[in-house]
Amino acid sequence: MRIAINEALCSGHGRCYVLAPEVYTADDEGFVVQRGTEFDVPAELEEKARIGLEACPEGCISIVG
Amino acid sequence: MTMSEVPTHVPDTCPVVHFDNSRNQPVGGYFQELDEMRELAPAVWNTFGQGFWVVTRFDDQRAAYQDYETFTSESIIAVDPNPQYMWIPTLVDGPDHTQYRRLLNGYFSPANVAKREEQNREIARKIIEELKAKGSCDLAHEFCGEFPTRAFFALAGFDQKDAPRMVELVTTIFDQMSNPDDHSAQAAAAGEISEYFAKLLDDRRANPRDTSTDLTSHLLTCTFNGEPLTQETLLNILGVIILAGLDTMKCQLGYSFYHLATFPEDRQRILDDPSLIPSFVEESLRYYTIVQPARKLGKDVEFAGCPMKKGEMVLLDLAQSCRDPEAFPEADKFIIDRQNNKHLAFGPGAHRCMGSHLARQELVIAIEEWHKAIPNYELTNTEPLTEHGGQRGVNSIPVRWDI
Repeated sequence: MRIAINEALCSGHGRCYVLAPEVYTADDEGFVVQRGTEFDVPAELEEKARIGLEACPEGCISIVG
Repeated sequence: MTMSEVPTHVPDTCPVVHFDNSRNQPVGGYFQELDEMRELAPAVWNTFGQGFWVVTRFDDQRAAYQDYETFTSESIIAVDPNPQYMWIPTLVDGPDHTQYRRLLNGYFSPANVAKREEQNREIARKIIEELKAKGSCDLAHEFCGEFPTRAFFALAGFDQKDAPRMVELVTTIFDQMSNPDDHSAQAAAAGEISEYFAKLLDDRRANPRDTSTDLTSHLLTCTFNGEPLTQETLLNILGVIILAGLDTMKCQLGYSFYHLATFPEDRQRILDDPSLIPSFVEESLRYYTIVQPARKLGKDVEFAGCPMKKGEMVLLDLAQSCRDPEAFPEADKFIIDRQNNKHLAFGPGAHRCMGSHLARQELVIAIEEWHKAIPNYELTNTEPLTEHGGQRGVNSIPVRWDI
């Protein structure tokens, strides 16, 4: 699974890294570190990645592959 | 109550309502009215005050909040399109807003808030201990009002002895916020808040404190476009932070306790399994959303099926998106362990509530600590409990328990 995080739409709600810290990380301001990037998620963390995606109020996380 | 004519450009296909947000009514009444309005249409015209659009559904509200060029923050109060005050960063958009937020985000970040957890638990325990011996209290004020105020003052480094007066002033401002006709007491209260912070700024200039635990000292080290913040900017920032930090938490926590006091079966679930409290908090934020920001149109736009004109106001009441059945299965049910709870209670878009990380921590701490000390309590009201509009909140939650 490959995840993309839209940089412009992430506004730092923090749901992704609170619910799925194995996949998403907070920066010093409370945004997700991986915003504006695409990255591969190992098979064992796919469920976690999806939980973070589905809890995002902005809809800024998407599955791209 | 103020009622306005429907402008000629509002099409016949657009429902017209007269929604007065300044009343008291039985708890839940506002949520029901907002649900009914959402079912009418994606956008309606409200003849209250000077008249404004109401965009009612999740997808449209989120798109509006995310488009600050069309839906500007020049005013965020639906009945006050031309505010005579400045709130920073609240009423600023675009790159300037981003720059102001960067000065403040770190202070209110999850990491910084986490450092205060033990201190905030202590504050909660102390209040609960004092109340416990009484055997009864009004939860809305004596705990839901008191705890967040003390926790916020501790985080910001403000003097606790000033809290009662600041709470009065903030309450005055919110009471008049949804009144389109009279803002006189609001202006006087805002003036007193400015004087208070002017003195505090003078004190911190003379005696700077640790910038990681004293918000005022932190702001005095900040720069905007390479220059130190002006006195006016400093006052506009502190003035809105205190508005945002006090009454909102009182109202949100009040609804959480209203729910737990009214539905003992849900209370029993969190007593049996306290690990459910964080998701209870999220569901409480979704089901009882208190905040109702508006935006001012920066240009003409066809949106949610309606022709909206530059300068008009658009109410984006977050309870309508948070309870939208298109976005949340069984949206009308309170589901403690709801999954995929992407609620918008803190507002989407760049203006996402800056205090949201603190708010979440306070909500969890308040509910955990209260129920460790006083797990069993019951309502003692003889008349139905009521809620106010403006910023929605339960007026009074009288409870008793065995000592």
